[in-house]
Amino acid sequence: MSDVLLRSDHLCRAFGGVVAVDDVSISVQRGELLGLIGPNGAGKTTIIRLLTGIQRPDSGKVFIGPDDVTRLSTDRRVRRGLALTHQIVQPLHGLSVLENVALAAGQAATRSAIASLFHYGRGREVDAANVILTRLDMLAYAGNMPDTLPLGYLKRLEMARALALNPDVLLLDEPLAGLNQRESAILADLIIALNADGLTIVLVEHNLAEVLRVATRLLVLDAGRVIADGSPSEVVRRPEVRDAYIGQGASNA
Amino acid sequence: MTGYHLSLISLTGIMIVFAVSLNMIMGLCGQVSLGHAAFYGVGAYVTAMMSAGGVPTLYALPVGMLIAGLMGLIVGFASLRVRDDFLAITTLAVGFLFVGVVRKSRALGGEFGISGIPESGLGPAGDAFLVAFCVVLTVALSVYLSRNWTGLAFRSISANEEAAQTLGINSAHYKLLAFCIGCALAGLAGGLYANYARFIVPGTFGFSLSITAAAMVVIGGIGSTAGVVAGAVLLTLFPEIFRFLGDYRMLVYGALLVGVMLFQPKGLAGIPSMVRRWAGPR
Repeated sequence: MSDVLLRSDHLCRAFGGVVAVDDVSISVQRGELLGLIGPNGAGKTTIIRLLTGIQRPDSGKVFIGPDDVTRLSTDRRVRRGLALTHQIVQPLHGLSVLENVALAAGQAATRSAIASLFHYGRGREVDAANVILTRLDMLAYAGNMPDTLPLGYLKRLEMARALALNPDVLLLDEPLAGLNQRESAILADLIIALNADGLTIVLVEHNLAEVLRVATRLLVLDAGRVIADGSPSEVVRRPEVRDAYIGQGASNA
Repeated sequence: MTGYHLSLISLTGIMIVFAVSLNMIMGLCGQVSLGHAAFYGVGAYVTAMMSAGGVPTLYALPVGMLIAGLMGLIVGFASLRVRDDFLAITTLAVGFLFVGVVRKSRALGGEFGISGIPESGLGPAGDAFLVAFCVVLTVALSVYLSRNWTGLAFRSISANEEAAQTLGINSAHYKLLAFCIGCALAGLAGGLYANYARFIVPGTFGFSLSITAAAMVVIGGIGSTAGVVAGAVLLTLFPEIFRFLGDYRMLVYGALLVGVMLFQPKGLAGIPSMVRRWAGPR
């Protein structure tokens, strides 16, 4: 079965004179774990932001399944099955960890602002949030406010909220950045496990070792363009990829 | 109880409704509004005109609410375009615009306002009861809204609008809802005021009233219904208690506002937990 859950069609976006994303067409197949890598400034985060509607493209289109969602706002795309974690964590301060996750689990209750007036009970959503927090080993911190938690936990909170949306496609923007080796490995294992459960994942990541370990397909970006697309082991051997990305990494190491 | 006390209680009740209505926009949903007096004014003028035209107060009040709520919806659209400081300036302008238009409007009595608003026919005690009833209703709605799903969505927008959107929250709709409900209740407070004062002039609904309401919310504790009620009571009775300060009252007001923001950002609502911290075991 190879149906496309998420697709971009000739996306372009410039900031001032700088072209961040240049004619990018990618498609995300059901069940895959697509790694998106590239040097700094390659346009990885911008692509994620264009796909989720946080930013709008100058030209090009975004499709969720068969539907053109280019003009839909982020919240509408989320309700059509996308979920996103931010590179820079964005916990909702003033809401407890549990409330952060329960809010995401309460899609039905918050669908319409007017209808939300008549939704009071939170039992079901809190149960769902507890299940997810348990899986992410965060249940002990359910009552905490986000500003009392270290970065590693806030990264997991991002993940917990995204999972609570029960998405078809999960877009992870550098979930491992800022984590130590042990935390990275734990989170990467979780990403593999989620994918094994059937969740389709797009992973933007700098930590090349982890990406090569977890991804089932790899896209390499450079200067806003896709320069390689294929299986991770095959892609990293290509000379243009080495020039653009691995070469730099190797010279830094 | 003398007439003075009864009238003071009514006035306090009206200000509670007004301050709590602003807190729904500013406290729960995190949208700054510095022109809230305009909606209080809309409610007051609609109720006054209708009462003067022979409509019973109890029918005029909901109409005032409705129209103020619709006006709030329109201004709410501004909150979709601008945020924070810019929203503050936009709402400020709405406040000035309201007073400016009313001052020049012959139909609304211009500078002289509307006088001789007929009595509601409920009697002094009945009027006070009506205010008390509206206070209970408003406070109950505010508490409900801060605990139900609407309130949770409001708080998420207040915390981080972009993050709220990535959780599927249509922030535009929720912000419009907050403005609509908050302004409708401000209209209710204004209608009650027209019925209470039986004489209204445009100057009443200006900048200083908007700032007073904002001060009640901030000093009471942004987002806390109980705190804002306490803030409204304190600041309504404050001018009565500190009458001897004369014109220096506004100065003390300002100092209080700055002091609270610097030293007690949670306002009066933060005092119980502060006391618990001090008194509790270490």
